[in-house]
Amino acid sequence: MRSFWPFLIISLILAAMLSQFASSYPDGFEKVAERLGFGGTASPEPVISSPLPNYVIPALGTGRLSTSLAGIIGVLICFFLPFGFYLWRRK
Amino acid sequence: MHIPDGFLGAKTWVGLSVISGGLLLLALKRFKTFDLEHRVPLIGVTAAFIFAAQMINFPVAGGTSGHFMGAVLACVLVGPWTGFIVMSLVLIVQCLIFQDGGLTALGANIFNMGLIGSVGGFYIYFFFRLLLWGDRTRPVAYALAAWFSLMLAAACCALELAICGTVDLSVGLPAMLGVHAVIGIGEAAITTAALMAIWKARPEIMNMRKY
Repeated sequence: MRSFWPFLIISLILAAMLSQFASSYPDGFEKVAERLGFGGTASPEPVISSPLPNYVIPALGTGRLSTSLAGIIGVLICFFLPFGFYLWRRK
Repeated sequence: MHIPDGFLGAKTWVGLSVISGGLLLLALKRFKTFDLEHRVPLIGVTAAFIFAAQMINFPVAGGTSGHFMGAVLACVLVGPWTGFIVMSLVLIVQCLIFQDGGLTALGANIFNMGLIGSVGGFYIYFFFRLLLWGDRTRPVAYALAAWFSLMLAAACCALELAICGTVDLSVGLPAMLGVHAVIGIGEAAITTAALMAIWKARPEIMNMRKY
């Protein structure tokens, strides 16, 4: 278990720091939708509203801190969920 | 390649949700019979890394960006079906918490990036490892598997859009494959760099897993 910490730290650094440099261009799928014109025909409204839409914390606006914290939260959720699932199933 | 809400027709997304949901339940159920305690930390860090790496969009030609998918990374580290679980976990978190990918398209996204990406990616990787026998060609097999898995996932995405009449396959498929052929270079580079680094540091976790 101990040996997995470096991997988690790397993930946290990626999510908190490198995410600042993420390109804001539309991704491959969005670009295709835009270019072929089927993006506009679909309803843009999501079915559910998420607590941290677009990887920002709404209360903190869209700044760097907001993205970093959202990234850290996401990494920790992804990391701890399998442990939670395991503990729940083991009972 | 996260499909948002509204792009897929009702029959398509319901069908894909049933397929993906059923497979995920089966995978989780079978998972119990395997050596879990050993793999939980690895599953957690793999999911955490893929989530983090997917946040970082890199620019590709023509005002477009792409980001890492990570399905081959997952299947090589934890095995094809466990990789499917890892990809599903990341996609569910992205959808529910970060509004990345629609809830109605979640089944389709799990199908494309989890099933096709990880389980499909594993057999592509397996094929290339057989073809390019030995340890020296390891990075080549990683890179090729990563590229092909992304292309296959993109093709499935185009196919789903065509099935429900959103966009014709003759137009959608070349467009999706064209842009993902370039993004795939990034996918291959990140997958190969990460797996080679892990292979050098911790070769014992790189044993081929069949589940």
